[in-house]
Amino acid sequence: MTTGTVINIKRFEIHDGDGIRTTLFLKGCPLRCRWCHNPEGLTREPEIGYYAHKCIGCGECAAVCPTGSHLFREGKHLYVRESCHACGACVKVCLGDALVAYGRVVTPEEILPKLMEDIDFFRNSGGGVTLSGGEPLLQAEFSAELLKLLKEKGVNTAVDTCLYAPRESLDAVLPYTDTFLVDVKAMDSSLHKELTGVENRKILDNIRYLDAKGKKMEIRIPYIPGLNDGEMGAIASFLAELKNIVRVKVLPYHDYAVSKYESLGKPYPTDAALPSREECDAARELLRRAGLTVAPDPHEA
Amino acid sequence: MKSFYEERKYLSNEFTEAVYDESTGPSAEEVEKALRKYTVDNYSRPLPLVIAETFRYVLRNARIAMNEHGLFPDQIDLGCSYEPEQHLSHLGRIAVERCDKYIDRRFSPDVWRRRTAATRCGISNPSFDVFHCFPDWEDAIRLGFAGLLARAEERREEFVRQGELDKEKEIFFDSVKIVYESACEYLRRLADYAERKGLSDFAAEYRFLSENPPSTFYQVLLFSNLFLRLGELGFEHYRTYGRVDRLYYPFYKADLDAGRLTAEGAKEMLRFFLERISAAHRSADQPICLGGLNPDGSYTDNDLTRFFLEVYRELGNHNPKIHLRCHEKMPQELLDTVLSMIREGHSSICMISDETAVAAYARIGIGREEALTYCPTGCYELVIPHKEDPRICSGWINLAKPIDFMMSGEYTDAEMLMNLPRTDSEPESFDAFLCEYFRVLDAAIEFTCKSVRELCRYTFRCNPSPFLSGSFDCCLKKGKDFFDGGMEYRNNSLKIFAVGTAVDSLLAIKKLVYEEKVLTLPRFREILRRNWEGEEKLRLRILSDREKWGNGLPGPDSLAKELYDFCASRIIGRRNGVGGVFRMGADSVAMSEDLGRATGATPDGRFAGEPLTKNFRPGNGLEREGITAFIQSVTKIDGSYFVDGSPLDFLIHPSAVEGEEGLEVFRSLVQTYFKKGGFAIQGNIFSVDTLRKAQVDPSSYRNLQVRVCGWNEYFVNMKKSMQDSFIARAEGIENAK
Repeated sequence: MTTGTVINIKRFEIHDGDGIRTTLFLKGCPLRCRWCHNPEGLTREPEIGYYAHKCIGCGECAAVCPTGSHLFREGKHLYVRESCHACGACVKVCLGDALVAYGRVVTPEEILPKLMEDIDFFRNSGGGVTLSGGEPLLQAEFSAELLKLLKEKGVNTAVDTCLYAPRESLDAVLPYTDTFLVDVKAMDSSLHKELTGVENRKILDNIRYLDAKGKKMEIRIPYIPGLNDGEMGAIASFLAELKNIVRVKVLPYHDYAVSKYESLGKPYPTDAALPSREECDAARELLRRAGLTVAPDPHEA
Repeated sequence: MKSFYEERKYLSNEFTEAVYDESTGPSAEEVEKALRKYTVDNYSRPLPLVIAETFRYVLRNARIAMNEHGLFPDQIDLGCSYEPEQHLSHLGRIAVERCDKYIDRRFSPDVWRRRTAATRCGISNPSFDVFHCFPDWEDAIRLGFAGLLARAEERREEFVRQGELDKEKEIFFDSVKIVYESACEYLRRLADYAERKGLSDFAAEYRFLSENPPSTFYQVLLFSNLFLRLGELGFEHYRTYGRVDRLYYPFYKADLDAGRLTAEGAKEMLRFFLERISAAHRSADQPICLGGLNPDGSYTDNDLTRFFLEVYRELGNHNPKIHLRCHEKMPQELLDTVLSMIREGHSSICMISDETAVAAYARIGIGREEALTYCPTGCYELVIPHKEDPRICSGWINLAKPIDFMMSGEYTDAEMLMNLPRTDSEPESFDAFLCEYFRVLDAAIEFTCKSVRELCRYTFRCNPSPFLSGSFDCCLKKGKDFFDGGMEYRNNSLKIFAVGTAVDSLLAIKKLVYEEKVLTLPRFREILRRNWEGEEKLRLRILSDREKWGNGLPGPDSLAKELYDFCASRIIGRRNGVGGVFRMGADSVAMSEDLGRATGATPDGRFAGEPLTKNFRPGNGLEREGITAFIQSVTKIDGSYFVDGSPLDFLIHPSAVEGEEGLEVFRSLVQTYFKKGGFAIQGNIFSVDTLRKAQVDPSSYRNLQVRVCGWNEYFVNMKKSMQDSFIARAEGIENAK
């Protein structure tokens, strides 16, 4: 039986493709982008997030933890990640919502009904279900099976991917995916490696492959000052050659994920500055001049 | 004539800062004294006549003034400051005292005792509603003051000819005659005064309206304004100007065709018109209704629909509030305009589904064609114009209170009020518990319906309304007052609220007592009796449980549906003893606080005395799955139960609906809600951040409006606890992201 490791489901997601969508976040990613805002999606293994500011010191977690990873010293909660097996027992009893489980194993059939709950909203808004993460193609078999089930129900599907995946993985989901939401981070391969941990050849090949197959793609370009802001021209030239780009979005870097990194005991990976609106608009303009359909800054309209 | 924007500073506070001309009559205090004396001296005379005569006294004697900056310049001193909650005229105050007296312990001890006990224990609030009515705008506009008077006289003659004019009818017709004669006389008084002030154009308009129905667009606005003010001078609360885009359109069109008016000219008039409504500071906001299907099912909107919206958007006031009748035939561009306005902060707009309204009326036997003439009044309650006396706030029933009875074991009130013997045996299963819950709820419904029936007898006795009644031909044809059965449909309405508190509480009992068995029922009772003292962990465990109503979850949703199905089967269409039926609603207005204060700690984690959940809204911080899940929960309950409104109160973060894509999202949310049978939708779009900033820096957020229930308030004017409650809800939603 195929299973997948998922993080959570988010309903009323409106930035992951057309219309009103439900997004399923899968766990595990081959990239280590320095600006990643979903750090809980990096590793495949389940993890526990601990939000210290929400802890009310009730001690319920310590009472149920089988590995003694929750300690209370002088009324202060100490979470020892090293000994924790992420069984999630503590999350169930946490009274302050301070503990969160990231990652659980499910089958496509199990998760399907939950994804279908907003079907009426999908139909009326042209929305559907998006698989995101993490990297859905890292769990291609699970993703393909789930997408197939969704297509059988007539649901519009999108896959939010970095496309750093073997061709077989891509081929597995391709027949059941209406739109690919593809990140393009840098054209310079060595810079790409520096920023994400991998080179970009495989990614660009896969983009060309999808384009040749006539698959609809929405391209998302994270804009991080000082890291990839010099890449916009090259990205524009690359994209201009493609035929099936329905939309390009420039996503300004934000640091909302700081508390999530803290909750996972991971260091925040960048000290990049937040981009100004003008910078992002200039990038959008540059892409527009290359003949691409660029989504406006949502704040503008 | 200067433009509206040049004059606006003289108009926004024209009621609160009015300076009445001392030369035109005695002071308001003197008028009030005279009115009180007259009322006492004439105690033994028929009340309709006394009311009509005091009405005439005010119109003849009260000080008047002309605000020459306005397009609707007449002002009359009614002895009220027009500050929020201070809009009752001297006559209104006398009427309120009279109403209070009628349900006082001396006059009607039984009714008083039961009503007070019910409110004190928090189960329900049986009341008689004289606050929600509106005149037959169509006939009033068609006939004018003089025409209404003439029609009343004709109807009286018919009775005379048939030898059927008994004493009661004679009193009725006399009172109608007095008020309409005084209205005409008052207009002549205004005309004379305007002339004296050198305002001859206005003088001509007032004089014209003293003899004729309105004939131009300006006159229909002036007339509606005057009619509403005169009605409210007594104790008639006109809680809508009606379907103004339709009512006023023929006048606009005729002016336009004759070259007397331009579109821009009409808009300028509407600026003055809407600003005047705002300036009166009507508490809970004065509604106007726009849009909607015609009785034959076709859809039309017109220039005025758009002009009203355009001008409203421009002015930025929250008073009047707008009821927008919606249907899928409505042009998308019109819906988008309204949604954009809501996005900008014009949250004083409530969208109501025509199809659900029709289905709701079908449940009380009113056909589609007639149902489609409906007009919302008050917050969201529907009324069939020309025919229906709806008593939309006859009573509220608190769905959480039966649980409080059962858990506190204090059945004394329940026994006394509802003749409900307690059961001695402990429910052995959740099913048995629920059975007992429904037994108590059923008794509460019985009791409330009975009390409402008793109270209704007093409405006419304490508040006959000749001015209102004179606008309805059905009242004239029967020779009966609006509140005395003059209307064709004489209904009552009960509002069933606190669904969130009730469902979450029942499920907590189910889980802890009957499934996980971590508590016994007596132990849970003890904990609630002690108001969770020493049991904070348990309370938090209950609160952090995900199984809460409003999140699209099958368990809570089906229980909520069961509660409303049950209430619907007991209430909707039930005879009310005066020839009409009960209707049902689900909004709570201030009852979630009022009856909440009297409700003990509930098993959902709520402390004793805390507010119960409002309208169709989960508890603060419990909306964890977002707006689509929330809509799923609400639409599981049949929207067609609620002729009296079941508003979905959304709170959306601005980022979800920004930009062109955001507008599409917003549109499909509303459309999907309506397609799923939703009744009405309204709400707020703001972030926690904005609210917090507004709390500490009110001067920079003076115009931040918040949809409270069926009306808006300025956030910075709300008391801190209420501000905090909005912040808590917004936080809950943002944290869930």
